[in-house]
Amino acid sequence: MKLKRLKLTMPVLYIFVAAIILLALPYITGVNSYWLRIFVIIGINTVMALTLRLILLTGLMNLAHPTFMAIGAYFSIFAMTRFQLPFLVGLIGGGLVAGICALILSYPFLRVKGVYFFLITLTFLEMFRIAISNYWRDWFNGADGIYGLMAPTIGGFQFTSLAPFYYLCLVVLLITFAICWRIEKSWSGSVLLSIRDADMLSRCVGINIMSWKAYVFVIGCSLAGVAGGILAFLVGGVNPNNFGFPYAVDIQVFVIVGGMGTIWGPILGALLFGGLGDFLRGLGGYALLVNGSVLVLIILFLPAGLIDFPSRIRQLIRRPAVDAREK
Amino acid sequence: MDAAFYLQMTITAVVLSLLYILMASGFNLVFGIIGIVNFAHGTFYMLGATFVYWFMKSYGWSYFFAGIASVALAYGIGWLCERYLMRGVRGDILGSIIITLGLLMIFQSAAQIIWGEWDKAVPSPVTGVINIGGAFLPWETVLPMVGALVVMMLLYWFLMYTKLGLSLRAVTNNREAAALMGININFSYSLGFAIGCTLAAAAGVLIAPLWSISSTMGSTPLWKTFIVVILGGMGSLPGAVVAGILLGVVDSFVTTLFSSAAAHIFGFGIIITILVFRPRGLMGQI
Amino acid sequence: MLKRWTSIGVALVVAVSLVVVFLARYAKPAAAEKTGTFVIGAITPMSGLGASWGIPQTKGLGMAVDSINKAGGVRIGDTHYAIDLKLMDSKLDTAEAVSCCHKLIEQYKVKAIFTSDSAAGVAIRDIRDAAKVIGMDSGWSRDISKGTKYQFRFQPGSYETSLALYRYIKKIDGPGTKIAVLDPDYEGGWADTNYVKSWAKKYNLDLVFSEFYTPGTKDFTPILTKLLRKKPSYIDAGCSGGDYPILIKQAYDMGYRGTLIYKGDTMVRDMLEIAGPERAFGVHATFGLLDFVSKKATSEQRAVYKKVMETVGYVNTLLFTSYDGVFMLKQAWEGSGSLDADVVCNWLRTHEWHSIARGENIRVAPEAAGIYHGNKGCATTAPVSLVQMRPGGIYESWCLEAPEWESEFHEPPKNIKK
Repeated sequence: MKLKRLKLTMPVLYIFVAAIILLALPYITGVNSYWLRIFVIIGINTVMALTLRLILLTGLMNLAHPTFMAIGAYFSIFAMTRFQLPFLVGLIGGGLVAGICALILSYPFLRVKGVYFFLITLTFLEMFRIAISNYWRDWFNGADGIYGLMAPTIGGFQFTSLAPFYYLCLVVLLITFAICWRIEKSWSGSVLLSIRDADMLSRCVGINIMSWKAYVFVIGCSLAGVAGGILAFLVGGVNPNNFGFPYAVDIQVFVIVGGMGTIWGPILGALLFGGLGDFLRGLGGYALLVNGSVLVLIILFLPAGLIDFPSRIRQLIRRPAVDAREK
Repeated sequence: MDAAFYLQMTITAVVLSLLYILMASGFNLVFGIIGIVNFAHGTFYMLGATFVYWFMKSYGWSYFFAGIASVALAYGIGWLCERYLMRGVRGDILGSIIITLGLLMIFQSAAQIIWGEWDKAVPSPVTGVINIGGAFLPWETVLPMVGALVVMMLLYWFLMYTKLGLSLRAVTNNREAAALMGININFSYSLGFAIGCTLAAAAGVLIAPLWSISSTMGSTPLWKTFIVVILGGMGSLPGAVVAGILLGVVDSFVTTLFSSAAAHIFGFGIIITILVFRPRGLMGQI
Repeated sequence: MLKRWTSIGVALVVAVSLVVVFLARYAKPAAAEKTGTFVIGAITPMSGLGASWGIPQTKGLGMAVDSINKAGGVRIGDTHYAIDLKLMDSKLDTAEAVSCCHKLIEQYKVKAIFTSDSAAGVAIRDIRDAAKVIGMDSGWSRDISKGTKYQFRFQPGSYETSLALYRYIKKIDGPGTKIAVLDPDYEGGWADTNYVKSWAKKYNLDLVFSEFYTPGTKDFTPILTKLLRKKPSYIDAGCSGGDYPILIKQAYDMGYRGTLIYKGDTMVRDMLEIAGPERAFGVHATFGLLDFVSKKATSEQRAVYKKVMETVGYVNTLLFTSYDGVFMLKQAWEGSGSLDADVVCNWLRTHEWHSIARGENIRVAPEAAGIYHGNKGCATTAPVSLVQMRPGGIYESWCLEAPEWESEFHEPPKNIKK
């Protein structure tokens, strides 16, 4: 009886402690500290990774995810600087515009799947980057990018330190997580997985795979757009190269190396690689070597992702004797 | 615009086409047999060129011997990679992307650290320029053209007329049936990957005296390989040839007549259109 | 009795020697020099495409810092400071550069940051200024230092080099000379083409061709096919970096026998090795500090060149200018007696200091984006020199500057504090 009560309260305790840490983090690290900045960036990356994985549930690997982030970023910048709209309006507007673009593009893109979708989004990513680097200079300022952005304000409260960015990012992250969790755990999640695993079959059952794919694609890309808006103002500017192939690959790495199977995988991936990135920053030319080796080693030993680590260890430990009392 | 102008464009087109065909064939071979996307393909191209430089500068070997050694070394490295690193990602496109990406990072940074970050060059064994009606054709451009044709013919002969080649084609066609027929699948996978890497390295070796060598020289060829492979059809070798020629011509003519940014956007636009209307590519099998 | 005196004597000798030793070792604190350390940082591409100029910069900075530390460090007041150098890889990505900047400022409390591409320099400018950290940029953007107090450009960019060069071309070849310009398709290249267009117009040179190529292109024959039809006397290939030697080679093979202009980071070794001495003959390169081996080099320049060849093994302009940049800051720190950025920058804009790269004493212009006439105020801390490749791979160079520089403002500024 006592054991059962403990089991119920343990997860709640974890959540409680985690919530306290998350809420108090800015004050633990210092409101303007470098570490807080890293956490905000990890938060943004987590949003990107979670949304990428959402789309991946249907079997589509969207390499153009940074493009939608860029759309949201540039839109929120234009909203603040050219149209004098409030920051929050620009941010949400950026998400909506990214979503609308995703909707329009879903017509040509979602007709293909698998490797072809991967390649078509890869191509689109590069095309978009080259297009905004070279054309419409008076809007996008080309490859120089737009810098010198002012600190945003929400309802009269100005973002004078990193803490407001952190809380904003936390809110967006929680919303994203909630959306992804809800979709995945509900019947919708099963539909998406069925599209991934046996799309012809699900079509026969009456599921309109195009609209389901478009559904997650649009949601995922809109949230990416919102993340883009936050990133733009956090860094103080944007540049088309921030949304290019290297970043697209980074998000993919978070998802795949973290573990595609569960919702915690991308979170773990973004967290670990954010930390790794900072650690590698001082290594100069060797950073790439270490980065590559880490990727190879992880895929070699943990093909299901880092999230698999505990169960693998358990397997290794329990192999000699069979424990009848294991969970 | 006179004949010399078009002739010059055509010469450029031929060099580019042959380069693309070699690279795309290697890539398609790997995709066809193992079912993975090899992001490190461009890096093997770079390694081929870098090894030639290394053998020629450090050991004083002639271009011919350095080239053969370089290709052999690339073969060995490819084999080892497949055998020891890539067993777990067979057929898993996403996993293979990550692991080959890791290899890309390792090889590129190792090349930069070991051989330096500046541009290097190797002298070509042939010199002199032929003038064809106003267009200039240096002999050192002819060499890679001839070399690429030789390699392609060797590949064709290997795949069509040898038992090993036949086994590879069988595995591409139907893996289970091939296994039932007694073909060693593991061996075939390693062989296929190694040959794919060798083709990329061969392209690097042939181009090395023509252009320059640096640790990042593999990224643009990788992009072009993707374009060719999509155009021609993933996994299709004849498709790689046709698409390679097409892209070489388009690249050369559009860059000359318009600009290189236009050529890029044009190339991407073509791909997206093809993928939307005919995802299989010109001659794809899936 | 003798024995007792002997033992006392021995004891005395031992005691005295111990005291002497003790005094020798520990008496110093009375006149001891205080020591300290401060940090300077660099945000420069150390991997990938930009590594070919990023890594030489890190080597130049490293050599300078080592040399200063070995000679006793930076002396401010009665304290000797050793310099600690922190290198960060920008990977040619501005978001990464911003993160690196925050790390350098908040964790290492740097006093100065060197950047080698102005995209990064611009991205970090506001952050760096707000934290009062001196910025030293060697990128292409001329406007990076306009209106900011703490930003210096330590290498001439296309604005200065094109100006000097085109004026020189007009002088030796006359107005109406045909020029073709070819630039890589990114902001450095666009900036260069813009400056070239304005200077060509100003000096009445005929710009017959202008186009952009994708960075990393190895095959220039398509573009050259078009370009050569216009029969230019000069091909200005701006900031082509590592692709430039291939351009020389291919242009020569296609029959071009005119002059090639190169304004990027010169590596003569590349030009000679990749293009070959025969093809590289006649190339005009600006801001080549290859000056260091020409007849006009000062003995100090030769000494630095020798040291560079011994430690690093190759010559690179950015390496030299970065090396010089650290010494510039050292003179400013010691001259102003402070590490405070306001004091140091004010000192730099009002005093002369010795530049190894220029081989003479110079002063940075108060409004650093302007170019002054007559009073030796310099927009950048390194010279614009013209290097001409001669047969056999030797080169000659000379300075293309003041008093021939033109004033950007119609008269030199009046209120320079002494």
